[in-house]
Amino acid sequence: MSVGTSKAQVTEQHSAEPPIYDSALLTNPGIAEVKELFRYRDLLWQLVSRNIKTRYKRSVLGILWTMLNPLLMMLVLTFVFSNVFRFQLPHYATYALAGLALWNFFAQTTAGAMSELIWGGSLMHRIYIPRSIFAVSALGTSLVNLVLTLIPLFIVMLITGTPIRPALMILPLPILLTAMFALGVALTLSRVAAYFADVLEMYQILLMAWMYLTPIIYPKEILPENMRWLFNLNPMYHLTEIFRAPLLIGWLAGPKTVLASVIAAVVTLAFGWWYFSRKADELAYRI
Amino acid sequence: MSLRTGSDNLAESGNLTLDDDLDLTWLPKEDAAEVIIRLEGVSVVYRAPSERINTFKEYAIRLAKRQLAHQEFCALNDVSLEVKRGEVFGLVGHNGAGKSTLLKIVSRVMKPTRGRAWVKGKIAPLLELGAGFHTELSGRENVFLNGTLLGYSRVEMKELFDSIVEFSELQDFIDAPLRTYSTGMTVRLGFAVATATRPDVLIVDEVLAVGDEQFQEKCTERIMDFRRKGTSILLVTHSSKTVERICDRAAWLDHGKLRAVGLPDSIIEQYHARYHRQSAADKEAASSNSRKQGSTVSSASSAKPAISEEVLTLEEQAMKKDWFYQFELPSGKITNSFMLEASRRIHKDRLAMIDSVLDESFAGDVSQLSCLDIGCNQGYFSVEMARRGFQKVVGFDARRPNVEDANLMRQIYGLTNLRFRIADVSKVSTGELGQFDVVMMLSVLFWLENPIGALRLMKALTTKMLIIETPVAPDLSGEMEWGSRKFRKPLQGSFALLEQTAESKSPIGSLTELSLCPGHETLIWMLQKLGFTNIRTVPVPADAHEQLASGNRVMIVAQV
Repeated sequence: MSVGTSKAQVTEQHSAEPPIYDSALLTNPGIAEVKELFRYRDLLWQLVSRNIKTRYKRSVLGILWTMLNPLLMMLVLTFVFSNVFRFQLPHYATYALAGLALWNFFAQTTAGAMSELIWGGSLMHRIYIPRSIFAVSALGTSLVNLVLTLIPLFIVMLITGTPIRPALMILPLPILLTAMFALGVALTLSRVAAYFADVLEMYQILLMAWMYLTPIIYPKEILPENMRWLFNLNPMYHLTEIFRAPLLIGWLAGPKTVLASVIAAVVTLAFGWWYFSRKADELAYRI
Repeated sequence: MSLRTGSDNLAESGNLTLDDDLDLTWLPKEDAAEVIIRLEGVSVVYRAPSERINTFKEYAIRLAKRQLAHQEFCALNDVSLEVKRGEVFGLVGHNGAGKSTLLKIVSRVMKPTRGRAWVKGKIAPLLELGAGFHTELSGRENVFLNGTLLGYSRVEMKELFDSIVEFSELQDFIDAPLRTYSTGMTVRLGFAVATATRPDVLIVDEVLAVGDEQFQEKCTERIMDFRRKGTSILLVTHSSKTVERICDRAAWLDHGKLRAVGLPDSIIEQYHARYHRQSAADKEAASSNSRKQGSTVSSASSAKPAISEEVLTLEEQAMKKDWFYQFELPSGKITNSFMLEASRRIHKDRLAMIDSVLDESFAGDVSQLSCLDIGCNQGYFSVEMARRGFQKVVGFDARRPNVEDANLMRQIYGLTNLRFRIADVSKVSTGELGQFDVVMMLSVLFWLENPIGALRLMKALTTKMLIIETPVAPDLSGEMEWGSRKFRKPLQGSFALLEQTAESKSPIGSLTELSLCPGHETLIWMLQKLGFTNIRTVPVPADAHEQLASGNRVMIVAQV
């Protein structure tokens, strides 16, 4: 604000100090982006509520779909896997539903961030909006959906007799770590998606493959023991494990899994944030 | 800044003596008008693939084949300019000249690659209204979404909501989903949100087409109101007319470079000159032509330095012309006048009469006042008023050559508080002009077909004082029968009906075939009827021109 001390400004003291934009004062884009995001928090709220409202505005069941969707999927899977593949997995319904809920959270955040950014493209040409807001609002939307799916999850746990333990209280931790990881991936992909129109489509295919490579609907025991280490390379495997542990085991997952999850979350978010905000301005003319 | 350097140079070069003939203290101080936007050597460089690559697949293939060539594209090249508070600033140039990039820099959508952009206050864009609306949401929900997109908080939007709905006139539909709205309704809502509060900078990309004509007028009125209250407007348009009509200053961008900044008329002229020359050159594709073109470009871009030289060359231009008025130029030279020797002094008399009015009413201090000179001809009185220190003087005339001449004088005197426009008093509307403290209509009224309408316009334009000077017709009195021998109406004066011949339709004369000229008493009575107060006839100086002395020509002052 050192430039703002002109005479004209002194005479204007009676009115509220007008905001001054000075391109020379912008330093670290990553920090600036956080500040701006906070300033636009009401917009974030509006975008999330818009996403939720518009998704269900013209449907009979409305918001119930969010809960029914994974529930129906879980029913099909339970039928297929218990009767066709005959897994010997206790509480399979809970196992599959929990895995699907978390996966959907991740998938919706990352794919949603890209489509929201493309939607916002026409706006970003014209007005300043913190560009990361689209990824963050996609995250917020999926988070609401995740919380809503927890309801049928608990009902299924009650029905199938999965014990409900106090460990459920630590569920926010795995959700937070997954959110960080998803946001990091979402930001990275958003920047790439701004340059190439086909990234979203390619990502949808990749996402499907990724899901089947992660033990979500099947137990990790499906692979022979000497190949199971391969799962360790997949951050979503660790995150799914720490999410399921409080539900199924009643405690945290193993320390290695927790550590891997934390590292995956922190590193991915830090990279994503840096990678995105570094060239956030370019998005204004790329999209 | 250039202005101050200019007068300094003049004083030092000895061409100018600071005697009482030419008082320069009226010159606005450098920081009189606060700078709102400042660009310092702003460059924007894009690094883009030489060929457009749209898909990642293509990118990957080219990357593998090592066929990726990038090239730098300079969208803006070392652009420096300032926009002051309350100014309407136009940007002209071809597509791709960098206008949109400049808007993006100001609205902080983009950061300059080099240089610095500085903007004080709230910026509001007024472009493609309704971008960001969602058709499934109700009008109400969209108002909140759009408002927060523009940077308002939810609390602020709650406060502004009622006034937004009222302005958009959509009270009955506000809870209906936006998909049920017509295009006009959507645009109205968009405009109402975008202009919910007065911004410090309003960015307008192309002229607005907002629904029906009535609403359009309402929007124009709102923008003009913002402007009066100090909002600077940054306008990009392809219409030269719009720039000349509403801009205070303009800049011409060409291939990312700033070619010129200045008065709209002169910028448009330079822009067109360059454009036409270029298209001619393109057609002929002759090397001699391109060389010629090169030299014009350099003369246009080097128009900035050495103001004193510039003024002197401008004076040379002025001295070559025959003028209606005798202007005393800063160098002391007096312009040639085609007016009869005997008639010339009338201008001095009129000026002395105006001065006496200003002295009496404002004690000579007009520094806080604005002045409008209607039918300004070559700008003689506008220039004089600007030199007397009015905060702002606007002169308009219906004839382009007159306005061009007036602008030349403005440049010669280096007046920054003055601008000229092309406008016809019988067609102009109040919204376009705004209001002025002092309105002058000198030697105009008797050329008009509709003098009563013109006086009504004067009433709408004036906030403090109206000065009218005109020849007057003989007054009639008595009464006339009104439909029956029994009913009689008293005459409130008379109008003389005059035919305008080719001769009297000269550059100073009428634009119409016929004109009506009121009598002296008639004029006073009309002004009273229209709501002016304190109407009086200005006393004529002792040795005044015969027309004034005889009372066949009068100057009347009226207050609002």
